[in-house]
Amino acid sequence: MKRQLNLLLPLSLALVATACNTPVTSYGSAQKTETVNADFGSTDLQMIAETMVGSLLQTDRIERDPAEPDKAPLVAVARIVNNTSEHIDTTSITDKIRTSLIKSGKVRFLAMDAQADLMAQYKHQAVMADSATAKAAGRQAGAKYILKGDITSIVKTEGRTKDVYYKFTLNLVDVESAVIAWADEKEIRKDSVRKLIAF
Amino acid sequence: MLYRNLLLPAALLGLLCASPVLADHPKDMVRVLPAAFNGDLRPANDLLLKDARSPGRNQLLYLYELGALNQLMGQFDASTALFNAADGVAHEYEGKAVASVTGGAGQVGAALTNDTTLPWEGACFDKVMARTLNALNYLALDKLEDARVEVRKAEEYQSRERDRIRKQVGQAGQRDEAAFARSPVSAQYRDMFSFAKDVRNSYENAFTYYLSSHIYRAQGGAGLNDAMVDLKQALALAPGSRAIQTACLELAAQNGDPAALEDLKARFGVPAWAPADPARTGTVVVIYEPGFAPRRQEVAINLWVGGRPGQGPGDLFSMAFPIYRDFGAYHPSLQIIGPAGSLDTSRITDVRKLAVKALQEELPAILARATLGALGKIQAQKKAEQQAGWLGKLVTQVATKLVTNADLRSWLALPAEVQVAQLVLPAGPNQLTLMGPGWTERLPLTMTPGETAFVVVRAAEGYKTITTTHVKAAL
Repeated sequence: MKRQLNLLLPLSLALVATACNTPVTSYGSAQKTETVNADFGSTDLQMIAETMVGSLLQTDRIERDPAEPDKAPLVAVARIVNNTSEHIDTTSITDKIRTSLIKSGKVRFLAMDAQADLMAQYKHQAVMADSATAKAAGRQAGAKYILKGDITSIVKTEGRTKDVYYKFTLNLVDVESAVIAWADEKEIRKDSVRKLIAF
Repeated sequence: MLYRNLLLPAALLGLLCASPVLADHPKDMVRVLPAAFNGDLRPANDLLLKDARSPGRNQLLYLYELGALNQLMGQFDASTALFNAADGVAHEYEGKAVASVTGGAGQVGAALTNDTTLPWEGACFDKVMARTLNALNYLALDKLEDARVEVRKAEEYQSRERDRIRKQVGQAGQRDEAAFARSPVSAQYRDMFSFAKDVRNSYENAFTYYLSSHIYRAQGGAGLNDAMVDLKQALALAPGSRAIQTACLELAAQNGDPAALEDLKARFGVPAWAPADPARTGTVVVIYEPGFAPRRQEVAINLWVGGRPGQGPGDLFSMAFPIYRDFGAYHPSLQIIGPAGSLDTSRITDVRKLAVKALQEELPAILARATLGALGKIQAQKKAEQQAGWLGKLVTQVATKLVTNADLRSWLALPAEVQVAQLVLPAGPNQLTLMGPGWTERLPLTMTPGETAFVVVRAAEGYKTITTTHVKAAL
């Protein structure tokens, strides 16, 4: 009995150790605030998109194209330049903004990121498709506006504290006149402090 | 009773067996580097990949080594992934608590054995070089924006290190430096310190600034200002470099600043210099990276420890320290023959000197740790002798001798130096002839107006690799 009990403790410890070594996975809320560290994260992306979309929906400076007065104006998304010291996928920011604006119906978007695929389709259809239904190049709609911007950061480290300041700027530019019809920015500051004592 | 009394010396021996104090990174790397330079990464992967993939004391170092070797092979995607993984590990080390139980236990273990049991966290110099090499990877992959991210990261490291050193005045780091300067250990390093005496510090180098200036310049717009700031830093570190001087002149001309341009022309002694027409020419930047970073060696120094005033000098203990002795010869320049004549590359960064300087900066802390460790080991020997007599003393002395090794780990796959040259070629097809030690290579280059072509030559042990990246002009 004593021998069995003597084996029980190390066996139990081994079992616990094994169990502790297995990662635990569960679903979480995509909207939950993420503060794993001071690097650019999902919550920052959501905050930026929310601010930009809200501002764009409220502005009355977006005009319809005189060539298509009954339709929402067309927008082409140009690049968001990353001027930070982190590899940030800026496409994911513009995708989120674009999706929300398309749903609102206030503007329409051109698929600038699909141009290579479209060219491939034109070539394919020119050869393979029925002429009655084939789509040819040269008939894409012209954008009235382009959406472009940049994200910058300033990083300061002092002792145990790291302070990161992000500024995201977005402009809506009239293609014909080059006038900036709308602009807005979102500032985010994150601080992280290294623990003094840990296990 | 004898067995119980041998517990302490046995524990030390056990620590020796359990801790990888006998692993020898420099010797192992020297074994695999020739194969890597002959295009065979398998020995390097066999040696390094397993530990590079899992958290361990050498993970960061092995990721850096593999990153550099993959870049040498032209495997830029793999190299980028390795350097980015290394950045994640470095980030984790930087975010650690100031004091931790497990970290403290590691320090105790290191004091009883040696520093090789501690995780290799790299010096600021290593991190700056890693970001610089990764910027070259991104250029090769035609990802200019990601290359800019890398040079910004390098600048952040440099800026942080500058601030940290400035704040060290009167603090423990400076007291350690003063103690080191007074100790007999410093006498052993005279030649090493003399070799690197003209280097300002280990974490700033002209090549990183020069490369980043070109990367910013390619961005155009606000990037031109950043480019000029970095070029000025590069010039301060390598004032005689013709390539850096030419870059300064071109940028001043591009910025439309005639006063600054005239001032630079007078300063560099080229009053007749005139910018090439960007509508008809392109710039070629040749980056030549020969050889390897130097290896650390071990020096044993006998020091008195534990002495107190009026109680004698203490005990004499043999400590092991890392040192650089063999710096290697300087590499001859690469000659570049183009349509307008020939020019040579010139050295703007001596990685050997940066490595030496990084060790010099680390030595006061190494001495402080070694002294603490010596005190602990001496106490262990005395205790073992009390408990188990001459046998206990012998066992602990043998164990101490075996574990008292210097930490010789350092990034060896870095080049020994970086040489650069900058020239202008007319738009259209061109041919450059590159002549290195014992080899000649003809390089066709088709230039588009206003672009910059980076020609990176990595050469060592009779092997070389040449990669060319074209970066289009900013609108």
